Amino acid sequence: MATLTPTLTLTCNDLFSSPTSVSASVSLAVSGAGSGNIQRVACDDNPQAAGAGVLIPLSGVLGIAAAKKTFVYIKHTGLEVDGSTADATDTVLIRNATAGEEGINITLAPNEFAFFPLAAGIHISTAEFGGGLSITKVAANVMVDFAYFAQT
Amino acid sequence: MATLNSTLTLTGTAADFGNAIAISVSDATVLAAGKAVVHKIVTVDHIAAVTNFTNPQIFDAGNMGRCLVYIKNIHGSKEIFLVETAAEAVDGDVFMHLEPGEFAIFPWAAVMDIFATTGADGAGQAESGLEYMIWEI
Repeated sequence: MATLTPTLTLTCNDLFSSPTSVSASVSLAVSGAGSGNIQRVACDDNPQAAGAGVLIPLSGVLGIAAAKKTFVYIKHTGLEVDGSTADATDTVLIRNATAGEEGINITLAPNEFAFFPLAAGIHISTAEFGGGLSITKVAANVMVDFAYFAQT
Repeated sequence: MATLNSTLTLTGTAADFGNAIAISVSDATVLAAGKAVVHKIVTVDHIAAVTNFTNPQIFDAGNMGRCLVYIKNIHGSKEIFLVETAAEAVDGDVFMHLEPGEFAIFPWAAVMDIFATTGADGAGQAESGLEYMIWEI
């Protein structure tokens, strides 16, 4: 077992008369093996040999059973697929690994990031959106950073 | 116009992961004038457990545009699941699973609603159990 500690701070000093400040942190028990590898992928890459853009297949990944809940970190790098040219406009859709609008519906603009606990396969109906996770380009292809941590 | 600054760090030791994990990312989100800002703490239950209860709605795609969502399970013991309908009565259609103390941050597309439930009937009520903040962007 390994421990992952995510910490989030949100601050806004100019929306209300009083500044907004939120901070959250938690210790997560995750699997050390197979977790934590940060990958930089293009939206049409096939890093899991499960189809273009599939980051977490329905069948699980790297020995992590599909029934495991997974903590996901993903960031739009703001870079085109050459890995160096800045892209300030193109967005990325993050959905479950099956087609359709149901389930996860995250849109990352350049430099935006997300961190969330993706529900385990045991909680997901394959008749609906099936679980897993995938990315899709909206227009031009871009690079994202991605890491996952399976709950023990 | 205002600016919301968000910073996320992920840390883990080399002993646990083989290599130390030290991810730190920041972003500045511009909040345009006239956009919605929501900050709530709600009670979450399961719809089959309480008469006339419906899952509390976190995000309304019909009335809000793309948003940055921060959500945290602040209950001491109950699990909370995010689902897409007010009438979701089973565990089969959840997409996020927040255990006590866990949180999430994500920019949500204005396509699907978000509701919360404690899961299967009998899971119990998470009174004042879910905190969330939404900034329309």
